[in-house]
Amino acid sequence: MSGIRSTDPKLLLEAARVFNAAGRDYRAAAEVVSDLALHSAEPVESPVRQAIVGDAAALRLSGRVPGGYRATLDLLEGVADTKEADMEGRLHLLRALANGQKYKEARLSGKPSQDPELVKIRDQIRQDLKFAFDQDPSLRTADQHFWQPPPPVSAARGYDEDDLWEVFQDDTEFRKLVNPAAEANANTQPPG
Amino acid sequence: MVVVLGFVTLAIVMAVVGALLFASDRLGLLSRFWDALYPDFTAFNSGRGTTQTFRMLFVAMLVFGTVLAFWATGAGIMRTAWLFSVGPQGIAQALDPNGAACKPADCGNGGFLFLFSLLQVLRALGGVLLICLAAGLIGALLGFVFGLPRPMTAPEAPPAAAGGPGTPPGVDRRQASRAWELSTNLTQISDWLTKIIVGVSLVEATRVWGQFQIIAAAAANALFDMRHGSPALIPAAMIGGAVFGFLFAYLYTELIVALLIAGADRGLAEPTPHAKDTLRRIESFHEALVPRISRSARLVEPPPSPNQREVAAALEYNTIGYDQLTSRPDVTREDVLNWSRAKAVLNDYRAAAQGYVHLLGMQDS
Repeated sequence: MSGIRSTDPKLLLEAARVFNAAGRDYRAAAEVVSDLALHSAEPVESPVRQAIVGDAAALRLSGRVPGGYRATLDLLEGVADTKEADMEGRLHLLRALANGQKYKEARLSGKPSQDPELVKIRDQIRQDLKFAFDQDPSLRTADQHFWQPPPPVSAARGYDEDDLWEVFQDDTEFRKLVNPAAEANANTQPPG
Repeated sequence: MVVVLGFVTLAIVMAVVGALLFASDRLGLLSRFWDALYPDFTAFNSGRGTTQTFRMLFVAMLVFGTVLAFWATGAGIMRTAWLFSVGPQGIAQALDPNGAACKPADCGNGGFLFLFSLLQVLRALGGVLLICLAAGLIGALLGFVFGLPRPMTAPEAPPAAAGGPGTPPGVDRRQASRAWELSTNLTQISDWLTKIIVGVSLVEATRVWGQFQIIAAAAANALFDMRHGSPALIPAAMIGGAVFGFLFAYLYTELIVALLIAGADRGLAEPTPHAKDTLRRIESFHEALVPRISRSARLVEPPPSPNQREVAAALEYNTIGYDQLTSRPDVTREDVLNWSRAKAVLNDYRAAAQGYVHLLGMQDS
């Protein structure tokens, strides 16, 4: 793969996505080419850069490229809360997922939910998700598998996409944010 | 007097030939002639194998031609010596069948003999090389006829189930077929001729060999009076010329002309500039082209679909395969990119991946 001659970020973005969609044989190529796109020094328009960073973050969060949530948070550190910086809300959603993985790891290590550091992470997650939903309301339903409890069969098989499940359990505000209607209904139900 | 006139004539001829060569060189005609004789096979898509094959063939032809030229030169000098050994009558006989063309005093002159020897060498060289070239042209004609590619007709194309191109689901067969096709008259004639030649050769093999010996003997007799090894060397020149002519034309037709014919054939099904422009304008990050890389392994929701214009543009590339595309001598990066995008728009990501592998130069690694 070191023989890849192009440094055109647009071509590398397209190629990485096509390789990713082309199936198992091309998965490794997708990861390498996506990384080349990320590190390309050629100037490129903001939407293309956002797409490249988003793809690279998704690969790290899903564990296909090493680095996990730490590398993802490094990548998305400077993303501003403006429409120009994240037109589709995708980068904010990915940052929320990375923080969700960080939160999950801290909780599994025994930290209480009221730990100031975890409260701060939850605040950041809500803030990012709110921005993402404002940009694209369909994300609320399209990505709910990240915070909804996994089905028993999937859980038994080692379901690993429940990045925000711990936050969903610990944070009422978060539940309101991701499912405002259900949370309102729950609050109006008479006790007992 | 005859000798002086001969040398003056020779000097004038040499001067004219020299002037013509100089003028041709100044006008670049010589270099173009050389380029035509020795084409640049290192050009895009010719491939290293093709280049090496032709270079090897050219070197073999050059060695054969040089050896033949040496023998013809020697044979020309030997003929002069033989005619001289016969006496002035011999030389006179060579100049005029009636033997009354020169006086003994002139025929024995040293200058005359030198001039006569030079002309004999030129005669031998020209004669032998012309015979070799004529045999080479016959061989080349056969090589061209045998090497001409035959287009695959529709019933012969492997179906999609067998790994062939097929017609993708949802695509009208009329859209997938072409309205125009390159004329196949020449290829059909080539097919018939090939079969006829092979059939006739098998039946007439013994007679063909007899006729060949008669022609070779006639040439050897006319040029060298059956002397100086000509009964063996003239058939060798004819066979060698024919073999080299056949090999060159066959390989050239198979490796170069076939690509050009296939390219011209595809040119008739060339996507329209509008289709190219539509595909070129799709943004790299647009998910109608190809979906983003997702955090989730699940298919959450289908990506946005390409619009009708984009699908129509992509369908224009439907009949063009990757091998067909990249074997075109004039294929550009933009052609490959448009083709890859067309495949991606039609959700044929594995085909599209081939195009991007080509564009990124990943084949060499």
